[in-house]
Amino acid sequence: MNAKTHSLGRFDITVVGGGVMGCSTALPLARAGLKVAVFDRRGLGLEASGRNAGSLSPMIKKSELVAHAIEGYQMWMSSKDWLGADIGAHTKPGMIVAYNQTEAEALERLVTDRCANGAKIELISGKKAIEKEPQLSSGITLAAYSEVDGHGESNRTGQVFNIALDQAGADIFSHCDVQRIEDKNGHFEIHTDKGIAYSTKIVLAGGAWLEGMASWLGFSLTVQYKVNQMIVTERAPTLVRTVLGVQNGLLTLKQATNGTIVIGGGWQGHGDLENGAWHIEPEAVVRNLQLARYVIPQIKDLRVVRTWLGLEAVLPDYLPAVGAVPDVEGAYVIGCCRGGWAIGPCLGSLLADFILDRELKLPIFDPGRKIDAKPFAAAGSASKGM
Amino acid sequence: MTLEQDLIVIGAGPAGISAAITASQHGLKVTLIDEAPIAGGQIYRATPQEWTPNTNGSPDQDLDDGNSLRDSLSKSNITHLTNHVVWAVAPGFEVRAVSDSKEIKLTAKKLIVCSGVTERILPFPGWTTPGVIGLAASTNLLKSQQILPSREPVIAGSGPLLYAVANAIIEAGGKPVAIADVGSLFDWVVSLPKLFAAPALLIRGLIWRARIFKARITVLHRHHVARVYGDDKVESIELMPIDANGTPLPKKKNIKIKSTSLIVGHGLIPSLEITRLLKAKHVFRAERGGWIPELDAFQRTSVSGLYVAGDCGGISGAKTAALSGTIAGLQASFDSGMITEKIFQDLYAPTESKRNKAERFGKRMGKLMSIRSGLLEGLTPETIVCRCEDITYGQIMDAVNAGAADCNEVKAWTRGGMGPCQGRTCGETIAEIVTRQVGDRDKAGFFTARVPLRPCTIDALAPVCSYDDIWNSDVAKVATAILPAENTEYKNSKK
Repeated sequence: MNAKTHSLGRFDITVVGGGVMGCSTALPLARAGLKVAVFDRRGLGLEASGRNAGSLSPMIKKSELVAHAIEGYQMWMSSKDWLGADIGAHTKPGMIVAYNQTEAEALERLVTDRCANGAKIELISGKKAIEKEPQLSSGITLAAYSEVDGHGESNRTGQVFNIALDQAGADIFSHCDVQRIEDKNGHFEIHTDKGIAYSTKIVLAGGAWLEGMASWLGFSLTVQYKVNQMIVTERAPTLVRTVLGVQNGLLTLKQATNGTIVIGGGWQGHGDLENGAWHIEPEAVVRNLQLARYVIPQIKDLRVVRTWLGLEAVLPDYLPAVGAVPDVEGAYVIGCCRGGWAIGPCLGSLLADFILDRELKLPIFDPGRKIDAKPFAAAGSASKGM
Repeated sequence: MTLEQDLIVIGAGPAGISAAITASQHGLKVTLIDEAPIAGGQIYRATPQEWTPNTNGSPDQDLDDGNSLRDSLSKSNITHLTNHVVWAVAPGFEVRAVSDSKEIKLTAKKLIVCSGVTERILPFPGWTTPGVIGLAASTNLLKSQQILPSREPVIAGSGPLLYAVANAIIEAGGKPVAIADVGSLFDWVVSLPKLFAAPALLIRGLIWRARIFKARITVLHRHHVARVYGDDKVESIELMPIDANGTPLPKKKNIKIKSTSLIVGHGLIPSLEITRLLKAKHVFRAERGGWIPELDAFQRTSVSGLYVAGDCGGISGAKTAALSGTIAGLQASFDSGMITEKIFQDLYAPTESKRNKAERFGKRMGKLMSIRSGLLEGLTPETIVCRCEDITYGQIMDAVNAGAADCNEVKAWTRGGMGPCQGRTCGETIAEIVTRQVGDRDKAGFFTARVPLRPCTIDALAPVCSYDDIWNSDVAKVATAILPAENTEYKNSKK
């Protein structure tokens, strides 16, 4: 079998990247009767989609994404209906705490803004916060509280989509590395390490790898990524009832259904897309844990059993790319969304509606828009001095 | 607290002690770090210092060898950190460890990993019943605490440890009910020529066999545990005949034996958490214990400045371990510019030839312990594979049948290998199950190594500090620098 000539088949639409974005786009398209292929270099849902902490918090999303986040939250809660499998999503109240006046003022602004965009969040006193979450430390100046929050078992994303896509008749090419795509004016040739697929339309859904994928089609997209660290403890009796965060976003903490406590917040590990070499920054683990025990002192006696890294890809304006690739007929892109796992099913179904020329329930995000914001220094290079 | 060193050696067994002593003799500033209270590793595991070991009057070669290593260590300039659990290792190199709830940071340009082995226990129905204990775990009990794991156990599995443990139990006045060896007598006989490379060890093995014969203990070759009976304690053990690959032979009769204890182990596997964490290249060599780091003749890995010595570089026994440690220490000294090439060559050549000779014996022992995939044929869908997360063989098979095509995919889908042991126990089993589907162990891969290398309390890792102090750290500055503007008021207010 020669990978340079072997045909993998002809498809109506090919999705490159088997994360939550690509799979959520592929599923409605396959169900609409299109011949769909999904490619992934590894298995489905193994990168950011399977490594994020599974939070479904609409209140920490950007204002332009609050409606999408609420829709995403509802989709995960009802995943059995549309995906055919329960992803273990549970509703839990969400809480964000502020420990000083500056943080409290920022929290007030956040709540005012999110409520104006359809979220239901209330501001509560520190005393009230402790009533809702008795294990919280004292010293809270102000807290934001929302009933619409929760989390799911994101590690199972690949499994549930694998089964659903298979049943919908899509062809899944996992462990198949797409090396380039050629635009043949009317169709695309997808060159992989296993052969060539031919497709009328193409969806690029490569997460942190989107910039490189877009360049195959001559489209320039500035993708930034963070190397987020996550931490999980051993199982414990119920200790934390809410999905917790601190105002600046550097702590997220919740207790999963199995009793483990998942701690994150965007503390940075190391590595880069070119060379890999991903590794944990031990000092960031220590600081993340210091913040966690500051907020919930009781967790001090729990053992940490695992930490891991996941890439969070964003565009410089922190809004996603969902829509058509400018000037390339039949090519689309989806990805780079903060909180992408939570919002993914919503964005995927919107892009599928867009491709199928159906009416859109919510706005999508033109990948060709002019982005003024300055990109941040890549996490890898920003932390080189450490 | 940060300790700057020229060289850090992780693991104070024969390999680690030899490596540290050699490097220290050539002028390197060395720290040797280990989680045990006394140096010696597993093979030379010592009784608590205040004890007088009872050797029943007979000479104990392991104890003497261990004491002689410990003696040289105490006379050296090496900083020896005992009771320190390494929880993280980062490139460059940074080693983080906890002890008595204190967290320390060590840095060095060179790192020698001598992390030894982990016991491989393949599951069978009933293997999580209280009363089932590991074979290597039993030797630890016997060596360090002089405690009999059981007076009348069934001993099952593969490799020389079967006979070592049976012998130790007989010496202490117990009597194993039966020994079930996965290997055949023929496997042992064909090994003999290679075993002559270490006559002392061969003679010791023969004495064990003679004593077991004299005690009239049933030895069943080519037998594996079919099932353990009993709910909250072992009541009886069913043994089944198997072929050379470990596959059950259903036409032959199983044997049920009454006993309250089963000691079982299927060989040793190199402990590779650290080399995997540092992304060194690894190769699969079943006869050396499975996955091993790719090493050159000087114990160097594919990562610059990272060396591996001892059994974690491939199962080969204590004698090879010590010699490979000496070579790693020598190479690290040369790479640090402490010795000339002439001195290096003069010291390397004789050590290398001794190591190569010792390796012939050790490799043969490793081969006797290598995995036989048929041993998993007796699993039922209800058999637990990952005992930390309670994941069954049926759940693993569902994931594999639904398309999970490597170990990490199975881990993500099922949570198998995500618990406190980090897959040290179930990793081999899951890899073998995936291999049946995808063809070879290379394709099945291995679980990505994760920090912490051992579970550690939050209290030990992250001492209490003030809210402001959390933000006064370089890592906090990196994390805040890339937050969206709306989240960073706190940081801005600090300016």
